[in-house]
Amino acid sequence: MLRRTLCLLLLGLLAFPSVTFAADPTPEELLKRYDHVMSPRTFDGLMIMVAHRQDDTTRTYKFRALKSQDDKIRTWFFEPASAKGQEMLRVGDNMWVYMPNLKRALRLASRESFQGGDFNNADVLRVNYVADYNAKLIPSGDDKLWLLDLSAKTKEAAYDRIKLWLYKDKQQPAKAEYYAASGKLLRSAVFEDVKNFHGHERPAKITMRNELASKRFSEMTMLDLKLDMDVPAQKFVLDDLGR
Amino acid sequence: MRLLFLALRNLTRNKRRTLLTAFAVLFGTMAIVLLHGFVNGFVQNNIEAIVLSKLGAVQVFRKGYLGSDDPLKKHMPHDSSLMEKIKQTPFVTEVAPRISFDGMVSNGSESTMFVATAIDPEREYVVCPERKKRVSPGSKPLAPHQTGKALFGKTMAESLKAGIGTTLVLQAAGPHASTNAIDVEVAGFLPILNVAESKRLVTTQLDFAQELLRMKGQVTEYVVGVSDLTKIHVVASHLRTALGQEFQVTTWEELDPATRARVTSLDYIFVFIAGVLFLLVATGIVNTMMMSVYERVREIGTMLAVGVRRWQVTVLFLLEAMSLGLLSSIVGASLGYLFVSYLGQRGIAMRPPGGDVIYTYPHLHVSFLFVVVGFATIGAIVSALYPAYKASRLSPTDALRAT
Repeated sequence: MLRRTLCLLLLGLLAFPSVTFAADPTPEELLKRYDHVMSPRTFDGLMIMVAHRQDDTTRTYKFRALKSQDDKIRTWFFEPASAKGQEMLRVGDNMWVYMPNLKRALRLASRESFQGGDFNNADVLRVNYVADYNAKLIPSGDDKLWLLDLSAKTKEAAYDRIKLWLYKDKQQPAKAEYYAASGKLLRSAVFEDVKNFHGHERPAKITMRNELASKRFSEMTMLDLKLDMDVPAQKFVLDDLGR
Repeated sequence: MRLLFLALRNLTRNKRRTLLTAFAVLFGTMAIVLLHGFVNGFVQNNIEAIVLSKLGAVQVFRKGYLGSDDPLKKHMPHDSSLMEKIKQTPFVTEVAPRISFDGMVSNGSESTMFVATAIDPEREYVVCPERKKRVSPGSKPLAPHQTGKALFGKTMAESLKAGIGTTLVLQAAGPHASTNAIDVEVAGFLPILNVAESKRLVTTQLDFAQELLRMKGQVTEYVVGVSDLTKIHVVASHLRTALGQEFQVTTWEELDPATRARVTSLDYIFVFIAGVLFLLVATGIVNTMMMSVYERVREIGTMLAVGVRRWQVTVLFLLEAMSLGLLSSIVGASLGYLFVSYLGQRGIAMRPPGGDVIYTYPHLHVSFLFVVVGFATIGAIVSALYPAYKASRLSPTDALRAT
């Protein structure tokens, strides 16, 4: 009898935490949430990237990004003078950069660095984690944070593995670590300064550190962001670059 | 025989003039021999720098690899039966698999771009024997059966403050999108032959690259060693038919037309300079022989008057020119050969701006000496044809009356 009550008690104790877990979002929901916060389905944003280089100089890029559907995005560069007139286009797995002096578009690889900074092209042009990664929730060791363990599910994913922390309260990203297949930490990102852009909340600033070259880091700041506008399909055709 | 003896004696009559002409021939042939030795040395340097240390004689790629946007996607199997098939081709000595790739190398705080060639040292050193020697003083070439090591361009290593034994991280992406990064140990340095290259070049082992790029069992290139470099086109066309449409076969000349042009233009320059020297010497001989014909008008008249045949007069002058050309060109060619052998032993040091010393070793094949002596002798005879003909056509009565 006593043994039975003890068993029930133990079962009850085991069952109790699982009840609280049931209220948690699933990893897939969190991932979807991240995609929605960082890269809504359709948006028109104005951004600034400051790349801190290893010789202690910086370079500032100002650009507009226009996204339509999940896999079409186009950017226009305004600053610095050397990048003025450049445009980038991503459609599906393909990326191009239009060089105004060549009057021609060159192919880009998603792993290549975005304008020589510490983000790669995929970090900016290919934020679709639901499509590229499998997610698992793992203990974060912090009551305020969820920790997602993402592993690449397509060969086109930019990283082999990502650890992504999100704040539990607002479900906003907090930080991320990006790993190579060898298990080496390549980069880490910190998401800060959550702002409301016309009703859409997202971190306005991302700092990306190059973990293999600690002198290098880049800061991406969102100046303005509009959502859900009408975007003509014509903007996402290779022939439209430079017009 | 008597004529030859007479011809030799005639040469000693005006010693100063004979010596002057002999010196002209001697210096001419010596200069040509020396120049040929130098040209050979430079050509050898170019071939060693390009063919025997980098490109290899003949290369096999997957069709579309050259000029591809993403060449790593155009890989082919690292397959011993395929290598064996290539090796069966006549003149082929060995087949070496390679992967060429690029990425970033970092020391923890800084990073820079690199361009790497991953090799299988055992096979590579047969195909490109010079690669084994192309390391900085104090460094050793990559050894077979060890992994996780790489040779770095000296300029790059210095900018990353890396010494031998330092661990750096190579970061690169394979045929797929994601980047990989693995630790690598600096095994040594590549010499500075060219500052721009030295900032970027890395040589590492094939299995390391296959792991980094996640290209297990794949390579991007087979380099084919050819025993006789003049046979590269034969080997290439043989391989084209043997391997079929899936592969692209090239020779080093196609991959590096600049070096090929440099090598052929050296040959043209040599022929041009040799031609100019030859003409100068020949003019000297014509002049000498003409002089000696005019000087000896009365003598020729006497010879003809006492019954010497006209052809004998012609032959006499031709023999004089021949002995002059033969003897002095033999001396000139031998001196030139001695010089070339000496410099070939010692080497001529040259230091490209900012680079390590490169030695040029002039050398030549002995058969070239016979060619030069032959040319000089025949040239001397040909130059003497006109003066000899003039001498034989003299009328004995006029000649005797001449003053």
